[in-house]
Amino acid sequence: MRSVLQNKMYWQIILTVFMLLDFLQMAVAHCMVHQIPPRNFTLPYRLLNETFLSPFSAGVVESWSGLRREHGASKTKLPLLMNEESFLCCLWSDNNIDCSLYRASMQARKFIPSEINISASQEIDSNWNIECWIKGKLDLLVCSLRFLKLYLRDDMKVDLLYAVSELSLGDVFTSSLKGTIMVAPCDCSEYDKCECCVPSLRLNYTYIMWLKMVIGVTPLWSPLMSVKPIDIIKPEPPLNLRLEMAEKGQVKICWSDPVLMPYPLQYEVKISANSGQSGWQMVRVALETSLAIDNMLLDSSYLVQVRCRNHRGPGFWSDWSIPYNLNLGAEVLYFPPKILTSVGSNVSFHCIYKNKTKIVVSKKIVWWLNLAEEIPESQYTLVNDRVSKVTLFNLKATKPRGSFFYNALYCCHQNRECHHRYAELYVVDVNIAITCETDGYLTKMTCRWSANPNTLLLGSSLQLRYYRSKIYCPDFPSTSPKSEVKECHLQKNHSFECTFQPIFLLSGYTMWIEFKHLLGTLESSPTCVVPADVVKPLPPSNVKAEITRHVGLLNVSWTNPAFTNNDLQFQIRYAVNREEITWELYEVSNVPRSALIKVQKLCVEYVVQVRCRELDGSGYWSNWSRSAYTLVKDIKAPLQGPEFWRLITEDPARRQKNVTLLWKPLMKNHSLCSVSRYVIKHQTSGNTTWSEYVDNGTTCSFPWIEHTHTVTILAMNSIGVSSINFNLTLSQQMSTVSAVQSLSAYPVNSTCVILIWTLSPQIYVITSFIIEWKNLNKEEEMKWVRVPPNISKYYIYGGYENENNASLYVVLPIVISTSVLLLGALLVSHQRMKKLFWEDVPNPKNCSWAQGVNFQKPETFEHLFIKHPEAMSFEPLLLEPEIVLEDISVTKALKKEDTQDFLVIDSMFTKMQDSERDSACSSSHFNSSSFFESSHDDKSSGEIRRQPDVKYATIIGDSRSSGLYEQKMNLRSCFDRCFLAEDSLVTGALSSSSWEVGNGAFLILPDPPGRQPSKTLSLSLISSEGFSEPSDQDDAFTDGDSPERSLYYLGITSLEKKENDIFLTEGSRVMCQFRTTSLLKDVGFLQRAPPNLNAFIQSSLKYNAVVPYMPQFQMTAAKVQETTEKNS
Amino acid sequence: MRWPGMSLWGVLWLWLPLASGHPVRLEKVRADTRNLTRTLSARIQQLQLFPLSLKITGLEAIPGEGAPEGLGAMDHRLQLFQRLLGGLAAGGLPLAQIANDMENLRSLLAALAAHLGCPLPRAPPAPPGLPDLLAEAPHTAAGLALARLRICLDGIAARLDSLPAC
Repeated sequence: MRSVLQNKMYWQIILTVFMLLDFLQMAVAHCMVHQIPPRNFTLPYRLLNETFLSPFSAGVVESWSGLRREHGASKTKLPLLMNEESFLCCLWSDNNIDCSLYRASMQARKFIPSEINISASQEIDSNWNIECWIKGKLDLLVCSLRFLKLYLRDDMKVDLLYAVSELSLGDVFTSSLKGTIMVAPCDCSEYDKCECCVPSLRLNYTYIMWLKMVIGVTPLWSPLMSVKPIDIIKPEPPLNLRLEMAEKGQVKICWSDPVLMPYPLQYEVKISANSGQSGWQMVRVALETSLAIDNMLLDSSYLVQVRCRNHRGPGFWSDWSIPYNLNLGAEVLYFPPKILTSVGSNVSFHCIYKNKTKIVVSKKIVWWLNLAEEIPESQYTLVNDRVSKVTLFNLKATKPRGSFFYNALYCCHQNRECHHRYAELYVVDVNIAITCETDGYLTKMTCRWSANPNTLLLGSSLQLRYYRSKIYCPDFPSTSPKSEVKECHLQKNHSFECTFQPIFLLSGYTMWIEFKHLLGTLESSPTCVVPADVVKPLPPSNVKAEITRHVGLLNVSWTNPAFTNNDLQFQIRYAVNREEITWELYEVSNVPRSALIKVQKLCVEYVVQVRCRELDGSGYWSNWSRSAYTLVKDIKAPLQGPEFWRLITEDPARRQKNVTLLWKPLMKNHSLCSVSRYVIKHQTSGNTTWSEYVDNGTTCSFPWIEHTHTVTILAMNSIGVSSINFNLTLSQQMSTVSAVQSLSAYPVNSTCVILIWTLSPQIYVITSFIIEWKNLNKEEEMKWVRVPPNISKYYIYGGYENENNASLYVVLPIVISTSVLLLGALLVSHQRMKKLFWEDVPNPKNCSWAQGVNFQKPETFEHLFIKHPEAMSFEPLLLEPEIVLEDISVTKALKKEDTQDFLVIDSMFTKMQDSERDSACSSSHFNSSSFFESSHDDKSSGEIRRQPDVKYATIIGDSRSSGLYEQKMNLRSCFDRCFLAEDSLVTGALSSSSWEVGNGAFLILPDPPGRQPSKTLSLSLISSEGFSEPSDQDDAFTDGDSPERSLYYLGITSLEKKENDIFLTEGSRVMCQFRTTSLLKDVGFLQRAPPNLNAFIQSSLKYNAVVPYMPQFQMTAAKVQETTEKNS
Repeated sequence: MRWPGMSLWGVLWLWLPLASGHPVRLEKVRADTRNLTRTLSARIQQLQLFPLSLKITGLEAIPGEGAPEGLGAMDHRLQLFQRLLGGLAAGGLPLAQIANDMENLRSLLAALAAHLGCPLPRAPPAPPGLPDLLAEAPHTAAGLALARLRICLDGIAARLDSLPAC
């Protein structure tokens, strides 16, 4: 049992020995380091002598004299880098400290942080009182030394040696000090105090330091110290102390942190009575940069000071801030002092107003905006006796005024005294609309938004935030903290563009604009977009356009774009392809990719484009497709044949008349759309018919051999020939009719002449006028134009300028060198029209009915038609001998759809149908049986062809006159006998010119309804070849002479011919013994030419003696353009 | 005794707008689903990786082309394709867009199933050997997968013309 106890004791002794050895081993392997606290501390210093040679230093002994030499080399104040330095490696405990001189190149030892017990150190030779801290700018470590037992001596020198490591102290070994030791000289100029500074700090690194002091030749060393600079920071005191108002009128003292603090701070606020008052003081701790205080403190003069230190770690308290006097600093307080808000919102401001030292009660406070506008009292609220509140409603965006981007709100005394301080109100318009568009490939959504730069504050920024819902949009989109910022790019006009790619087609993207500013953050109203709802489709492709044949509709076809469903609506725009395109729009929905459009013009090239969008109206219209163009091609056979007229020339040698047909090229709206050739159909009285073709040109000549010769011109294109055509029947017998009472021509300018005419008072149904003119100076061909019957003036355009004597225009208003002949008009009597025939005015000597008729006067002819309107029931066949001299008719089965194209025809036809009575012409012409009989008698008694020297007019027939012609051949009436034979005395002169037989005005007459009842429309163009010669008055025509109403030959010539160009106005009188009207009296024409001028007139005027009773003009027309009154 | 009857009618009248609103929403989901399948099909067609005129072997991991019948089967099939395309989508934008469309399409099918009161489909097991296949022959896998997906989508679109079963 004893032996057991002994064994146990041995083992305990052995264990204790091992433990002691282990301790020794550990002690040998470490150097203890004193950690510098954020306060002053006491550190022992050791006299360095040979006794400090370390027993563990492996035979390496450092003499302090060597160190001394090194120290002598470092005299600058800048830290010096030393290659190798010795330091004291100490171990201490509560009652002992053991140091040895060590060198970094020796065996490495670990540093152990430890505090030195001051009580223990007091037993040692001497102590240093040290305090180290980091200055407020965080770039300088300062260590202040005080000597407890030593007095400063002049030969004393102190250095602070240090090494820097990024490792914590426990990880640093002695070997790491090798080659990295710096020396910072200390300033010991103050009494018993030295100050050492280490610049260029790294706050989170570990600094290992020790002090070396040499007094005379005595070296004193300190143990090693270490510190992390961030742990000993002494901040600058808080700044900018001020009073502010909190919500609900509470007052708080506020301050600002010192700059560059690397960690949060805690504060102490000291409120003390001002000097001279009681020594009351209160200290409060604050964790924020403000502390609420009692409003009552504002009434007295209290001082406030604040200091700060590290909130979570070690550190020094800063010094106290500069005192702030509550009484002086609180004259006006606003809450909030600045506010940032959005347009349309309501904001409130609070105010405490202290006029110098006296508080203004809240009910005496008034509010002003920008020192210009007093805010109504109704917007005030008295929070308490001291605090007033004002509320501003429905704010509008702040307009920058100069460099001020805010509204200034002033809290004033009601005596209109204001403090200079104000609250700032920033109102920003954040109603920013975001519009998105998904491309036609459904892969990219581009969102755009724009902000008015004038309303943005300096230093503000805008960004688009969004989040995505899985599918569709929420019912009420709202902002969310889970949103992301979408990068947007600034475009022109201050707009931004953000692109989402790839996209989730059916997801809801909720987006808004965030406005960021130092004063706060504003957000626009969130909007949610589903990309599939904002698609801008690709435009339709493969667009084609054509005018359909026969139907004449614009047929547009296309291919729907990819990535669209079939529910699309389309817009088609089309226009005549010309320089200035005027689009017309046509909309269709859900169509099978084509549309038919009714267009007005069929024979033009159309340009067509198509675009589309979703049928339900979502999304956008696509871009317009590429243009498609129609080809101009024949749509139908020409609607009608060309209008034409004729020139008749006579070959005296061969005693043959040649007829030249002239026709207007068929316009496209009638040809639909081209004319490949014209077909001239001839039919003579011998019932012989033949055709000839004209591929090019608009004239055709043929000899006129037969007594009557009917010509029809048809237009032909690739579809067929025209179905409605004009006929012209030429007859050897000619007559004229007068519908034009007066004709005037006035030059408008050098290129235009206006013709004005008046009609006879008789009631005629005039179907159209034909105007012929010719430029006598330029040897031009005769020109003609057909004008509608409802106008009374006409502009002829062309070069009419009289180059030699333009001033004569002033003297003579009408200076025209082109002769114009206006022959005119066929009248149709009141009732139904059947046929009218004119032949030569009978010679009263031979024709009993003509006796008493004054053929000089138009009334004469009028009377012939209307004098006995009641006697209308003549037999058409009886008239056949007097059938048409010239007859143009248009015949066509009238279809309903053609009526628009033939308005004139239709109207004429209608009139004739409406007429229940025979025309005036018919009635007057045939109402006298004696007239008829006498003519018949005359015929039977033999023809007297030489007597009449004047032709007269006219008439009408219709296209169905062949039968009449035959009868005419058989039944020669008195007109035949009265006909002006070619070999008559006067006719020689007449026939020498085409004017005598060919010129005239005429009318188109519809066919009498009874003639062709089967939807046939007949138009007759009547030629008035002349009027009757002067004849003895017949008893049947008892009207007196009326020079104003007599027919005349009107001629106007340029005054460049001076007196020789005497105008023939009385020529008709000479020739026809007509009295001219005084139509031209007003314009200075001669009304009666002297007899000796007749010859001149006849010789100088090419068409002088022709049809003297025809209205004529002579004009110097070089170029004639025509227009109708309607067009003008 | 009249009041209970009146209140019952009142409750029925209150339910009327809800009942009438339901088909409209369902119809929109169905139409959107159908349109999205067509859009996806058109997208795949535009990619034109290669025409599948040959029979390709060794790609059993790729889902079949037969159109699934019910909503659950559709989602099942689409999920397989989605995984497959997920391995391919790192490549380019078109495949990324198709992947997005697939996700939208599955969400729509889920919404449709919710409207019809169908149970939530379970996630299918991953086909064996898929990563190896994608690493070994990505081009073949992409072409075949897209071609089969397109056929599958066309089938789904056709089934969506009428209300599909769960």
